[in-house]
Amino acid sequence: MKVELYGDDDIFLIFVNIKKFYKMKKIVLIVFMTLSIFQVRSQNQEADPANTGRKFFVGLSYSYMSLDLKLTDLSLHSVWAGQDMGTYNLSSDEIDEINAFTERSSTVNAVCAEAGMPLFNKPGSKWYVDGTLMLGVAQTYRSTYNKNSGKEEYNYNSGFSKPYFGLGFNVAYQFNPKWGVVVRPLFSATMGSESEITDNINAVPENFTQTIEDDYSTYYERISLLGSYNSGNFSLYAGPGFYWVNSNHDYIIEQTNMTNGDIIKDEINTKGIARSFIDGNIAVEWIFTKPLTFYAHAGFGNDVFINTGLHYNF
Amino acid sequence: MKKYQYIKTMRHIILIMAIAIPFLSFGQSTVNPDDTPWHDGNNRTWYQSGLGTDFCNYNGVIHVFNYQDNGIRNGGHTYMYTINKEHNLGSSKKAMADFKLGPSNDHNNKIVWGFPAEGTAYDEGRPLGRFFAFQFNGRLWHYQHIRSASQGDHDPQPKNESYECYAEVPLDTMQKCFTYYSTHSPVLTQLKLGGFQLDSMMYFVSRYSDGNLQWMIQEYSYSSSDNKFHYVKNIMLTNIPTSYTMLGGLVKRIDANGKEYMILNMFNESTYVKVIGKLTPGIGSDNKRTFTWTQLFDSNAIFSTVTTATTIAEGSMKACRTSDPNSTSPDRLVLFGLNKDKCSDGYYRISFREFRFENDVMIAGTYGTLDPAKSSAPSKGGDHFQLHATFDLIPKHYGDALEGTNGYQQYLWVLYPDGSKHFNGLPLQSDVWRMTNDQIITSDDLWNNDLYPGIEKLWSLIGIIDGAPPASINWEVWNEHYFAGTDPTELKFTVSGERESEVTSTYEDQWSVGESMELDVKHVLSLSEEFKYSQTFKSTVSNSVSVKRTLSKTFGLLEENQDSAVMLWSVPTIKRYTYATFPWWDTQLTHPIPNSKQYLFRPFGIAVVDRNVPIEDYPYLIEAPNASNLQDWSMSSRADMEAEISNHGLQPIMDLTWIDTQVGDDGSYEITNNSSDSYEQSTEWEINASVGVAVPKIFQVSASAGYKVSYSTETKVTTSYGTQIDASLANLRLAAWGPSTNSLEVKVYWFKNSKNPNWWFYSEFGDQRPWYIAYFAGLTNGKINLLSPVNKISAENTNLFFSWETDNADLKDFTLVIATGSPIQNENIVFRQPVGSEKGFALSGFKPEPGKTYYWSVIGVTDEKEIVYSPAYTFTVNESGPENTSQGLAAYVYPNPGKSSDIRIAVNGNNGGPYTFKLMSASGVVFVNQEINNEEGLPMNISFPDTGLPTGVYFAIIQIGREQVTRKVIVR
Repeated sequence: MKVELYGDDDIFLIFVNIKKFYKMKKIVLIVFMTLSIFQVRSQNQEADPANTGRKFFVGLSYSYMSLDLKLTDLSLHSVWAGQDMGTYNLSSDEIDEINAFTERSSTVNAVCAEAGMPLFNKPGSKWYVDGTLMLGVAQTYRSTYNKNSGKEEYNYNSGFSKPYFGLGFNVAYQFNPKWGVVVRPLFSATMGSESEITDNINAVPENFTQTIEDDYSTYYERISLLGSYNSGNFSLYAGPGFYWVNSNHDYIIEQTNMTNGDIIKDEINTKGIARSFIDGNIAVEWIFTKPLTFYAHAGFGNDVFINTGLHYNF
Repeated sequence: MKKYQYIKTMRHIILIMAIAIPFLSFGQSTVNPDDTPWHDGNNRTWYQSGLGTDFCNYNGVIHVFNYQDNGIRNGGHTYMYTINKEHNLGSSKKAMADFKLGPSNDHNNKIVWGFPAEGTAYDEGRPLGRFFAFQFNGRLWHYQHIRSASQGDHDPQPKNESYECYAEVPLDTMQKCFTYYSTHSPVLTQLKLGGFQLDSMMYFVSRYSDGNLQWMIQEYSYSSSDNKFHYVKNIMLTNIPTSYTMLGGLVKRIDANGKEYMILNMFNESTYVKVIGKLTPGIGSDNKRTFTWTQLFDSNAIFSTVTTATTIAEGSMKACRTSDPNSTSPDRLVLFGLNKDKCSDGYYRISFREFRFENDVMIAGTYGTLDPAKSSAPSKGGDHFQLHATFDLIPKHYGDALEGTNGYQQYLWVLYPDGSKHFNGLPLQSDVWRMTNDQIITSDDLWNNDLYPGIEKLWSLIGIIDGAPPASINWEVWNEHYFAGTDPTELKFTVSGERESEVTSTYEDQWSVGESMELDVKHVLSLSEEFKYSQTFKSTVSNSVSVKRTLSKTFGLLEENQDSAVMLWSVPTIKRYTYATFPWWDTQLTHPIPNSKQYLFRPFGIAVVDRNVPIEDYPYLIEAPNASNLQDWSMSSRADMEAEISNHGLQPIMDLTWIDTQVGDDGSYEITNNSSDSYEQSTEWEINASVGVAVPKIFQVSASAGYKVSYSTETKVTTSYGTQIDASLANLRLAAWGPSTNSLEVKVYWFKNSKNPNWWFYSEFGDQRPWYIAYFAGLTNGKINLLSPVNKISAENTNLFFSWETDNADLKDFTLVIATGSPIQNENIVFRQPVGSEKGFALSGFKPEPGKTYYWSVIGVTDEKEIVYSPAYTFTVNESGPENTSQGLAAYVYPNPGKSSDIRIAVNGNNGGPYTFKLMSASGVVFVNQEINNEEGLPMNISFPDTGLPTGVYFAIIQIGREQVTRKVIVR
């Protein structure tokens, strides 16, 4: 990573080599590389971190989530040449059996523009609350691996083309200028429809053409309970995080008989959640110049959560 | 390793595999079923606690036997169903249908054996081994082996016994299955898993469930007296590894030499191994049956996908494909296996491997995955993985050579339970059975027994005739006076309008076994797969055909044929159709499946052929047909015939006479509607075809000479009679112009099978039952002409008066007979009244049924005891109200007009008592006033021979009590 500093309150450009994920679009990479900004914000040790007299902040952020999911529901519906073959909803025992031999993972990378403001920031108060709204684009990579057969049955990479939305809050209480506690609830969502799917179990039958599409939505909720330590312009946070994921997929396979035009349609509806719900969190904030703040927050456990970005306070 | 790195590594591996797999998996494909998958709309539950469900195709329809727990303390029973009985395709396929059997008060689809606690056990007895169905001698059987669930209240365990149960499905659905079971104590550890018939024996593929776990073939004989299978012996198969625990499927085939063998598939659902092998029957040095097992393909050679349950089915499999990579190898067999691993979507996929046979060598072909509808995809059937294969035969019409269904389209069906434990099936288009492009061969010269010695064994004898009505003729004189070809006498079956005399013969279809002309070999009953189509065709579509021919022959008396009788034969004309089975892709019919070729021999017509035979032979026995005294034609000379006539009271159908200087009689015998005669027989013809020996074209094969032809068929011969039979002496005029006698009487008798199946002459003809038109002939004894009632009268009431006349004054001892059928004979006579020399009778003592047609005639006897018969007339009494059913006083005058000495007045005399009779003139003068005492109410004939009445009109008044009738009498 290369950093060039242009002084306080200025916007610094950072050229970051981001790890190349599968099928990342070049244009997005270039945009990200050229537009990444972080602000170094000097911090008054005595003052509350937000007691800058600023009312709003904007910024850019990058989020990464890597999730190990399990099914809670799965239903199968087939229509064969116009005849409805019915819907089969798997039982809980069958779901548990599938979860035992299947690894379903989902990785989300999102780049967002953020805007926020302090919601409670009275001078002299030990409390501080702010809220942040995030809007951006996300890339989702999904994979399903069958341990019994040793085969990756599904995978796809959506590219940075799907909408991403997030809403986060900071609720901080300073015991003293150095120590405090922060609660950070976060809600984010991404959704989309993907047809560039690698399906290794539903091969195209002979004499048929096949289209596949997965309409999906992923909702991520997190609440992190962090202790904070402030030292100059740096703030460090650590503590547990609790998170929940709801991943919904409506996977449709449509096969057309090239001889007679008959259409066979199979619909697989799944609902998944994360296998775990708790992780360990660390976070850092660095006011490296007055209007600019760099922050990073990561949660590690069975799953990985990373959120980092720059805010410009004004 | 972090998750990201792990995924990346896996993706690299997958990439490598994706490059390599096309080279490793040649012939692999994913295919869809050809038709909409079937799901049981009635959501019946596949039995979960063992292998208690089996499927079998019988007569083209999929039959299902499914065990069911009937609830706590209700034991369990097996229930029968059919799938797609109407052979529908697409969404028209219906739910599994109950296959109900039994009388109307017990008509259901449950099979009951009656073993202990069958319907009362707390839990149903569990299946041991597996349920399976098999066919024996063309009949469907079901087998199940049940562990006893019979447990006394104080018993800690159920009884240590088991029951082997057999059920034969009846042909008539109003009958229940024939069932029996054998009790084994302790529980039998030899588990039967499948069965096949070989020759007349039944063989079961079995294995031990304990000890050495060995496989064996159990030989059973069949007893038709008790309709049961009886154990003979075990034939151990020691070279089948005991690691295989279940029989997946069994297919019976024929090799290029016509020898039967079996392809077996076994598997172990726990260790995921499977095998295909060949079971070859043989005969040991001790002349006893042996079997040799040869492993053909093990798990890895079938496919690398790990499967649990497997099964096999014979036939090609289209599965929505448009071509086949080995199109010149049509003989196929498919193995289906349920994948061991569920996919991440929660169901088991089905893998398949096609095998082809080339020169009796089994070669592995394409393999891949069968893609079912996901919502009804396979799941585990309770405790076991279950996958079954059978087939459906869809009736089809191909081409115009034969009407109606003349072929079949086979669909292989793969059957399995889904996640809801309901029945599901995948139909896969398979082979087609139909006529080949070979020419249809016709033989219409089977009448030529000079060319084909012995071919008359395929003929059916319709009737025998004594020839034309006999007459003694001086032919030299006859030929001087008549044109050549003028017959003195004739017998003719006539055609009038739409009513024809016809001969109808119904022939059983005959199918060859392969291209062999030994059609008497009944291999097809043991149902090698190659011949399942023709067997189904025979059972469900047609196994016989009726062909007819008009019978309109004239038999005229000629010098050349006077010493001949005539035998009328029905000779079939037969076509040979060539059938074979073709794979789904062979629309041009260029590659039939080897050993599937069969011939259908079907008569398409008959020729009625007459053959002259010496009339001196039995049963005719006429040594001198042209003798001037016609002695051989008399009753006394034909004693057997005369005795039969007498025993049965058979009357002639015609009595023709000729007297010198008069024109001889034309007689007609009118045949009632729907009159026919029929009988059944077996015909068989055998010959060794060799160079120089001619065989009909239909039996010629391309093989070199030196084969045996053996053709047999069951035939029903029916002669339907049209309007009438005519016999004529009309060409007899003057005795000086040819006849050697100056009179002739010919009585024509007709001996029909329908009147008596045991006529004396049948001993000569084996199982053939021809009719016989025979004659008695001699000098005339006069005729009896019937006067009243007129022929075919429809009378208003039952007050009938019968009168007749004769031209032979010596004829006396008349007897009036009334019968219900024709010809009149003892068996159908309902009224007989001797009337002495009277020539009239007022009917009493018999009340004809209104609406019914009766036949009446009069028999007269001469002083020489010669019998003369009148022709037979018919009458019917109108169906009317009660006022006409009572029979009051009736009187009839005959002859009227007549001489006073001849006139008779017949009174029915139904009422007993004193009668008063008066005869008076028109002016009131009383000539006769007589009281007659008739207490018994007998019929009376009143005459007044001594009155000498002058010509005029008179009135006869007959009175009894208050009843009185008056009749006009004209004396001339």
